[in-house]
Amino acid sequence: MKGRKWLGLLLVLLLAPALAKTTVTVASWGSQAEIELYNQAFKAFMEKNPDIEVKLLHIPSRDYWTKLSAMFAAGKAPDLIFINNINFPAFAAKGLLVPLEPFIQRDQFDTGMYYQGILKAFEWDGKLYVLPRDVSNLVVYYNRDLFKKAGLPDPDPDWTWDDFLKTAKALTVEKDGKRVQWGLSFYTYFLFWEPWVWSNGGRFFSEDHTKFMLNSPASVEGLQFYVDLRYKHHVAPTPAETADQSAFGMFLNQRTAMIVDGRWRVPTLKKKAKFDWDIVPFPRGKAGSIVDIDGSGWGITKAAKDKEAAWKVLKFLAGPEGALIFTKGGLIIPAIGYDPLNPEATNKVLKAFFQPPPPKHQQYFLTVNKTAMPTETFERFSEAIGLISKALQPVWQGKEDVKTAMDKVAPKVQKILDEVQAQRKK
Amino acid sequence: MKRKTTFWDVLVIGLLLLGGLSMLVPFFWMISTSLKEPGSLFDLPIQLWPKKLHWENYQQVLTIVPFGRWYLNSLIIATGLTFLNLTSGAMAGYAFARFRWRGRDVMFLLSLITLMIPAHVLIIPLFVIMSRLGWIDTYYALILPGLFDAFAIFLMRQHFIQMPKELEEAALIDGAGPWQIYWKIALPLAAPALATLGTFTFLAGWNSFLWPLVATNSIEMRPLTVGLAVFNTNFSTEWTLLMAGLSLATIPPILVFLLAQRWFIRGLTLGSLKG
Amino acid sequence: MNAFRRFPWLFILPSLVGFLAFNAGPILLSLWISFTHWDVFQPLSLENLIGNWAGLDNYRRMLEDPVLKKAFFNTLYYVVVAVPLEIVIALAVALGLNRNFPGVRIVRTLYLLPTVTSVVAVGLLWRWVLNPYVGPVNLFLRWLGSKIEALFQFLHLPVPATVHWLATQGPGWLQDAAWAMPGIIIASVWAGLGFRMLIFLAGLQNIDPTYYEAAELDGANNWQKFWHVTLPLLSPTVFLNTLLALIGGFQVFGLIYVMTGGGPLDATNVLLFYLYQKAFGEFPPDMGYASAIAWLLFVILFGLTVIQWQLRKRWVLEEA
Repeated sequence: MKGRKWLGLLLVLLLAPALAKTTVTVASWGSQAEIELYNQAFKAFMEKNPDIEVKLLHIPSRDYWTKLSAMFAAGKAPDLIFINNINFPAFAAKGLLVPLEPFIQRDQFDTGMYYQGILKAFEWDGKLYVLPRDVSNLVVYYNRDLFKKAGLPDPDPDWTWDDFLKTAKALTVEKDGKRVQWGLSFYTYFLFWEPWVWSNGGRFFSEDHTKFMLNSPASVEGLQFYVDLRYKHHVAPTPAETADQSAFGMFLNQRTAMIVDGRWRVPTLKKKAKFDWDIVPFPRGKAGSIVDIDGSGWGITKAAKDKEAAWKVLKFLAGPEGALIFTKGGLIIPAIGYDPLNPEATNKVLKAFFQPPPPKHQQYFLTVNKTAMPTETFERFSEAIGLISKALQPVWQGKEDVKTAMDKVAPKVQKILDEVQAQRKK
Repeated sequence: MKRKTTFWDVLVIGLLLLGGLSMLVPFFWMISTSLKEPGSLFDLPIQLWPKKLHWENYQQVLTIVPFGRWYLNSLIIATGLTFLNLTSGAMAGYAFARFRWRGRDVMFLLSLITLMIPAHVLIIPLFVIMSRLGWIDTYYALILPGLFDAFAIFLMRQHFIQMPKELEEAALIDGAGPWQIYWKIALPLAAPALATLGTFTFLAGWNSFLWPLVATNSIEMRPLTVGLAVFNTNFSTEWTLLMAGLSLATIPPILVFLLAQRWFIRGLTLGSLKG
Repeated sequence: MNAFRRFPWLFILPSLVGFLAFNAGPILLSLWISFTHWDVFQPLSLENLIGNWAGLDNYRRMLEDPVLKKAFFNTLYYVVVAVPLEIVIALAVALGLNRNFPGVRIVRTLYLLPTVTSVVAVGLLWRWVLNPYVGPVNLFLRWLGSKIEALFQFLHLPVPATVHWLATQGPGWLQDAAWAMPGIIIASVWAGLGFRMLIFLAGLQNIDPTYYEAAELDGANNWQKFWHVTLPLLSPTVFLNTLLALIGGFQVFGLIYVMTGGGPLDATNVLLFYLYQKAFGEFPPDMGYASAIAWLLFVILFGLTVIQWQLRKRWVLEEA
């Protein structure tokens, strides 16, 4: 007995330095529900890795970068940061993240399980810096009751823009010379109109970000088609008709029969919709059905004290185990798809994604990812999209056509692109 | 002294009441939203007041987030700031109003400079300083900056200037020093100004958002304003919970103001405008 | 009075310590940052500030920035219209509430409610009130317009275009570049009323009632009492409030952030909002340029303050 006690003490003494816990701080935004998912994931991780303590640095989403920049300025950056692909290039260009390839190769971590579109979006200068957690994309939500009323069948998943227009027309209802129901709700935020540009073969910028292309014929035609839905065909409500309602509110209140929107609407629709609804992929244009696949994930900062520990945490959070926890929460579309190399784990994640319908056809949230592409972001995208959005304001009000507006803003955006090119060469 | 109430009095009071009632509208709206069913923001027609009151929103906001702790933090911060501000602001305000020294006006203008530079560009440098002091995520970082406040000094200075000097001069002749005069005569007479300043400082401390957001790391150290931001995420805002939290947050400032008005009474009974 | 003729160390000390510890440093640093291209994600160190020295780059850039120019004139527009409105209305309300009637405390508290209510709630409500299609303001204006239109028709007179516009449409408020700023001004004067009113009220409390009694003996009427007694005696408070309103007016932000986000087409983009965009709104942030805008704002405000400071001796009682 006595000997054992001594042995135990000796062990403790020997292990003491090793037992000194490393702390890894993970910065993230998120709702209360997400905070709880984080805590769940951290708990699961720490059970397996008792030598590492993981802490959440939660920051309200709107002021995320304000707080982070202050911490970086004070030299107190967190070890892992959560970031979306739209802000990623601007951040990666600063060289504040650690490239992940060495870790990935050493541990033979399987990145094949992620949707390649979102993985690509987290590459900078050919290197991967972020492992993704979730993706968001767009599908068409539709009100099946209103479809039936108009004598329409469920839309074909391979439908075209022409079909879409015909459907929208059939769903637009007039009473005493006044529109009382419209084919679709109308969003003006850029994430919602990107698919109209891309599916028509257009782009925002050339692939190497040297040239502004929203004023090219294919881009203009695609976006003009969208605007025409509101003014020329009048199958979407004008600002006056929308009044103080939100686009989603109009769909929810059955004033519109369709809306192009993201997965985040499902919980509200399940709770509040008083009609039968479902989803279908975005209609096919000249270049196919291409919606945005944007998303977020974690990267390791150069400031991280213990990069090995940080990698361990990252691997867990973004890997199948972490993904399962976040997917079960029901808030996200996981960035992990089915992976033949890792069928069991990835299948679990996929299964967790499928919750009781509606929507009946929720697999479309996943299938559209195959052709989707990420927002064409670059180092100064936030500034550029600000200018573009401003230029489009008269277009949304029907006072100007797309071509005129985009030609007007072209030199300003081109100037930003030129400056970025010059900066890159340095 | 008693006067008849005239038609004009009724008109004026009526107009004031009307204006005051208009101020009630957003407040009313905030409370009505806080009692609605979650997600009913989209309901048509818009309900002015929910048919069924969803008190469970309040219960939720009290349980799913550390609401009590945030409330306490807000109270500590706002009270601490008010205390510091009243003490140091009144002292400096008195100095600028009654003392004379070379460079006094320059010093006063210099202090006003702090009101003219937007806080947005000062926050990161201040964070760096606080971080060096090791005070990030502590009450020190949230309260101590209240030690200097140009608004407080300015407000108190103007009030001391406006106050009749006679009593102070008499005390001086009786041999009292400036410190005694300040404590025994000037400060008690400045009660209405102190009450005003206290209300403002408490309100400002209670409503402050950007600095506490940047200066705290842990969820437990947050004041209410920052804590409740968790209900406001990129793609969705939980209006009912947010408004329930915000409604509860209005109680202390309203109490403070009702309380502060006690110190107005002196002036009111003595010097109502039309005597 | 010798005791009052030296530097009052003890009185100044707490404020001085606070100023030196938490204000002077950040202010000087922000001035320095305005002369650099320092990236906020780099440690704020001597080395980085010197290494990213930009000379007058940020200030030169302001000269060529059309949005900044627009923001500058928008700010001026706001200040010129909103500040006098704020002062006059707040003074009137304060005079009205500086009396005793049952429930006066409650009414005073009512005026402070917008300050207590979250700016988000206030902003969202005003967005609805000013909605051109369904908001109560335009519903009223259209009703009014249609009555006037009917009057013209009744008199067999041609209906003026403005009347017809009022009857059928009305101002577009926040959605119309020409009407957005007036909308913001109405909302923010309304919301800030309680704050200014309270400062006036506290000033009014300080006025010695014997002055009024003396004036009454001289047979002064209410207007004369206001003009010859109240206003002069209140002048230090008027000075304070005007200066604060000016400083606040140049830094208007909260309601714009919630109600219009600077739009439409930059019609409500003001200096502080633009600065905020540059410092925190856009990614990556440009703290150098934001700081330069802050210092431009400072120069304007400081100039105005010094002018008022010099002028005060002409009209502010007890300062002369």
